Order: sequence, then C-alpha cells, then structure tokens
Amino acid sequence: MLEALGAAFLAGGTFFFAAGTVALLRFPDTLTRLHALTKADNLGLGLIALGLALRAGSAGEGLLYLVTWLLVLLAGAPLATLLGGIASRSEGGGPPP
Amino acid sequence: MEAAVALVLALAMVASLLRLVRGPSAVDRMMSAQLLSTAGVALVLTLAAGHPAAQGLTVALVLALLAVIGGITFVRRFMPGDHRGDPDA
Repeated sequence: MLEALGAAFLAGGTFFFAAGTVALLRFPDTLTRLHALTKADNLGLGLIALGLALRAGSAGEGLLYLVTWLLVLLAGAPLATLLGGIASRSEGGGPPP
Repeated sequence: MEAAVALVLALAMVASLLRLVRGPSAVDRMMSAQLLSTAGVALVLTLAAGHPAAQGLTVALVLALLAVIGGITFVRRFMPGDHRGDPDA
C-alpha cells in the first residue's frame, strides 16, 4: 500500500519536473519562465522526496529525504524573489548592467 | 520505478542546458542552473534510495548547499546598485 502510494508520488514529482523543464524552454520571457520554474521544480522535488520517504526502509531515512526538501525550499524561495527583482528591473529581461 | 524517474530527471537536466546556452539574460542562465541543482538533488536522492549506506543523502545535501552559495553569489553580483561582489567596481 505504502509502496504504491510512494510510486504515485514519484510519478507526480517526475511529471512536475518535466513540466517545469518544458516551461523553462518554451515560455516567452524571463519572468514567466521564473514563475513557472520556481513552483514546478520545488513541487517536483517535494513529491519525489515524499515518494522516496514512503518507500524508505526506516522512518529516519524517510525523514532525511524530507529535511533535504526543506533545505531546498528555504533556499529557493528567497532566491526566486531576488531573481525576480533583478529580472524585472533590468527591463524586458535583457542582460543586467 | 526509481530507474525510470532517474532517466526523466537526467533528460530534464540535459534539456535545461539549452536554456543555459540560449540565455538571453543572466537571470535565465541562473534559472537553468537552479533547475540543474534541484533536479540533481532529486536524481541523487532517487539513485541513492534503497541503499543501506545512504551516502547519497550527504551528496544531495552538499549539492543543495552549493546551489545556495551559487545563488547568493549571483544576487550579490547582479543586484542593481550593489557592486560589492563586482571586480570592476
């Protein structure tokens, strides 16, 4: 049961990573790409970490997967905000000064 | 299951290199690097899952920390009106 649930989370996470990558390649400008990517890849990593945690041998190992995700989230959120600020100030997504 | 997930993650990392090459702005390239690190963490976690030694967890944590340091360096260099990290200033 837990195995199957974990597999479903893994599949979902993989889907979000694929979607985020397609968005990074296909979206028209810097800010839309930033918007799509920062949500999709953090969610993808979260679902994969959750899926692996459900399939892990011990509770401690599963907890470590989730701690890794938490670290990436804590780092990613402020960085995405700062990148957005830099991109919007350097008009039209051109190269910053 | 894990192998299929790892394959898709590796393909995503390769595809994100296209954006790294194409740009056009430095922020786009930094986003590509962010995706590389996040997908890299997921890839290492996936490949390390099920192995008793769990060394992969350490590798994934170091990868995540390196991405943080890279991001901080980028922001220090490119934040308008702040050139503490700029060698030309």
